[in-house]
Amino acid sequence: MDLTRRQFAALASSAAGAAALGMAGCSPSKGDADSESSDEHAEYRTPVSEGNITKVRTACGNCHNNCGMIANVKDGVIVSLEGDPEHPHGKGSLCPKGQAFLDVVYAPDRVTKPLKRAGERGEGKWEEMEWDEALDYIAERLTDIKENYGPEYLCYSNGAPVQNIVRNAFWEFYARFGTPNQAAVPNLCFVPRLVALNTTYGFRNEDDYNNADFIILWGSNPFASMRPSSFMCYERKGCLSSLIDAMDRGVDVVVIDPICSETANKATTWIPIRPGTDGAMALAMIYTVIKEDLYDHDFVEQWCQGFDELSAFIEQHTPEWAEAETDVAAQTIADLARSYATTPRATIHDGNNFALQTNCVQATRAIAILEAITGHLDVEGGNCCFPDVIGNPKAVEMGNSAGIKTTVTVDTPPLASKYYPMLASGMPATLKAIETGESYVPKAMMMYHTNGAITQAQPQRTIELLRKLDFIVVNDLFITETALQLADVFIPDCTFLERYDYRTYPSAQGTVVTLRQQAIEPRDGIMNTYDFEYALAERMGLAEGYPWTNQEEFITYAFTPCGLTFEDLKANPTQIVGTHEYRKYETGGLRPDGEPGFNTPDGKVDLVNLAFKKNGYDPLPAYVPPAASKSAHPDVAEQYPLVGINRRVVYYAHFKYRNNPYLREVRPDPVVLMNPADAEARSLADGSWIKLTSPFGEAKFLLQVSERVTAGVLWVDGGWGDPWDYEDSNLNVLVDGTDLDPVSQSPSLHSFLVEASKA
Amino acid sequence: MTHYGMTIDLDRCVGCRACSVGCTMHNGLSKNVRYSFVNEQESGAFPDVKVDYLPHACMQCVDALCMAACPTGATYQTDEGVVLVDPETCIGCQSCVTACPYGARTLVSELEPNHEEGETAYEEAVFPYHKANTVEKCTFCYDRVALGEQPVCVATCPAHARRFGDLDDPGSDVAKIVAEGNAHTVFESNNMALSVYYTYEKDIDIDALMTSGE
Repeated sequence: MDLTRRQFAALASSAAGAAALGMAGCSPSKGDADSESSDEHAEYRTPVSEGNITKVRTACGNCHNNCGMIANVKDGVIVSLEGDPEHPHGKGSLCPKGQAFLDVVYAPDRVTKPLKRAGERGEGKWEEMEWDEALDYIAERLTDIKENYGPEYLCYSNGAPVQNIVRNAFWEFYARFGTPNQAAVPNLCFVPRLVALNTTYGFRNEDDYNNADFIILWGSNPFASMRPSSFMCYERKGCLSSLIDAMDRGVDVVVIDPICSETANKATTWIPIRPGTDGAMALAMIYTVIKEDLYDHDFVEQWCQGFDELSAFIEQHTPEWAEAETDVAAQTIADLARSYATTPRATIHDGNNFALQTNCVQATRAIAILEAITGHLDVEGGNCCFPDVIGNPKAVEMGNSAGIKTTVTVDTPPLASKYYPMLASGMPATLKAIETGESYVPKAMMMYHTNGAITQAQPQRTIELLRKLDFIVVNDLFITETALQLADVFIPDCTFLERYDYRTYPSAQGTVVTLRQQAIEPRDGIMNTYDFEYALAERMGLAEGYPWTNQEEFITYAFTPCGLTFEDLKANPTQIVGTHEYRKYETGGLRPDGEPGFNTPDGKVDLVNLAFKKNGYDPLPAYVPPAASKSAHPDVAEQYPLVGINRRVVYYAHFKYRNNPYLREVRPDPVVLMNPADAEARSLADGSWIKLTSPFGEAKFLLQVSERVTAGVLWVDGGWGDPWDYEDSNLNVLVDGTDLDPVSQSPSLHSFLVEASKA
Repeated sequence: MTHYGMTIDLDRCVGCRACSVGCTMHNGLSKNVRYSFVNEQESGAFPDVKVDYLPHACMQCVDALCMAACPTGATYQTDEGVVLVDPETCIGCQSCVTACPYGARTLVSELEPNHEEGETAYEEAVFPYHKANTVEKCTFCYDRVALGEQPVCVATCPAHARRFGDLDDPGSDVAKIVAEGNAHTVFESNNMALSVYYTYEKDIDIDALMTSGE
């Protein structure tokens, strides 16, 4: 053994060490002690140690966070992915999804040639097509629909904008084609909250965690979603560090959640709440703030509209009233309101639980009002309008949450605006139009990077209704359930590592702009989406004056407002643009016209919501119990007494990549957490497969008996149901697809009624 | 002398397993071999319930039982205290696997693709750096460390729970954290000198977490 003096001393001083030395003495190499020196051993060899690795700075595209990433490429193959230590947000961190993404690139079941359906929809019979052939065919079919019915008979569905290209792809094409009809997933995302926030104070706030002295994570689980990668942690690396560091410096991080989530588990304070009743709690906090005179008088007088109406409305919403609705003690609610209102640097993050309830928009409205009247908007440590958040007038790019700005505007009103005037782009509204025939039934749909057949509640209904369409194009990486059940033509896509894209990130230091660089050539010659879109536009005579012709030009076009070009970003892939200041409502930084105030019709924080009034919605945030609850449907609740809550685990984004073995091994099965009392009452054993049943269907899950949920509540893994995983385990089959939030079309994904039994 | 060591702050760890997945991908591992694990354990009753996590891999023992158990001298220690296996000398007898108290070692019985359909282009590029019928384990990312980088599990941790550095350099993060006196090793009562330390203020039983399995 080649031991140093220190090592030898440590070794000899322990019993195990003595044993080790003794055993070494018996080993065959005893006679030559030097043979165990590291010099004598074969060199430790890995792709990294051998060199010749090209490091490409890019950004992950697996979920919305888009952490800075480096692709390590050797001989044209990615041998590993790592966090980009120079990226100001993650500073080198990646979650398991990001680490494992390279398997997606090389997955054996990835489709690399365009496919044309050769059997019935759902049979999985395909014929390969050449790229030109596929483009010709799609152009021919779309031209036919446009000429015989009109351009609005084409619907489009782009998936969750986990990469900007997913948001932006084909938008210029759709506009030039002339359709306003989007049937996508905003109803399952933050967009319902955006509707509430935008119409109340004109922007999508971001939390100033780094400067906050009090943090409320309301229905939010960032330790599983890793959401704070959207924020820059100034002191340490890691997308969660801004929150963990806050706790380290003594900040009370309060989680309001029915479940002991990954975040509640680590928070300083966890307030369990009855599912779907958050709006009631927020109203009672407003009550306490107003009644105890804890509101910011100056801010309310100068910047808020409707305080008198709000004060009158709030009268009945006492903490005692809320306790009965929420199961949170009145004292707890009042104390939380006091702590929040009296801490100048305090922030509330409204989480996705709100977006997945039938009463989410008004609940978010209540929280937005709470933020405003306590003076926490756009101040240090509060809910800020950082550069580049939606609603900040100083845009650096040609897009926002609704997609990239197009050179042509479609004037036709969207089909679904009849049903949902303030958020017409959700899939459920289009399904309703198909079901009723009002105003018309679309003929075609183009679906990009979306699993729309199974991501909405009641997937079987979605599939049946979308099958009424004559022509469906699905553009994705794999034959998802959507491709299998619906596609007439399947177009393979490039992964984010095989093409360019970009991301802009809000921060208190300005907008961080990152070029998502192409790391490798597309696998098997797969056409990138930019080229495909432009080629399709050319074939249909729509290409003249197109603002770009390839991906490099697209990047330059997208950054027109700030003037950055593709070449600038190639030279320096991550840059910070612009600056940030607080209290922009005083300086004019919140409105496009540069006037002081908020970007609302009257320039004020609209406590009484003018836009809601105009569209026939309640302008005050009246509480309505969640659709799937005992109070709303006592008869249903009697038969289905358990409340299911959709769970998103850190290993998967939405429905994606359960065919990735590196992720699947850490979460192989769809799991449901159930309290021991509920399991015992039903004689269900931990580790067994159980069946959840609702009025809408049934699905199977692996039972984990757990104290993380209270009796009567289940935490159910969402996102299963693709052909390669458990097709019978999609929780959406349990959820009502028609009883939705009246503003945002959000279903009861976070509180649906079920019963459990042996599978 | 340099003595590489690692500290893991269990109060910061959220159990996301970025460390383990990152380790597998960086090292290009065969399906039957993993170097890095996260054990978890729930305790208490609602709402006074909690989940604890223990990320673990090779503890890089100063007095490594695996090295003592190795009949061919394939297991050795670098000058920086990192325990490595020489695949040219290893005969795959698994004496070390039995000797390791931490379950850190695995036999590469064969190079098994992670997909049933066979090797991917990625695996074709990384599998040649592994040898069937040898034992593998965490190397503290000896390849990255040689280039001045941190091990993947340290670099990737979204909670910034891990630190890596020279325990013999009093100015290093790891030495400072250990010097604060709240750093523990797994199975501390065995009086083994290890190079991986855990820090936590909360009530966590790391020995129980280690033995409780996945």
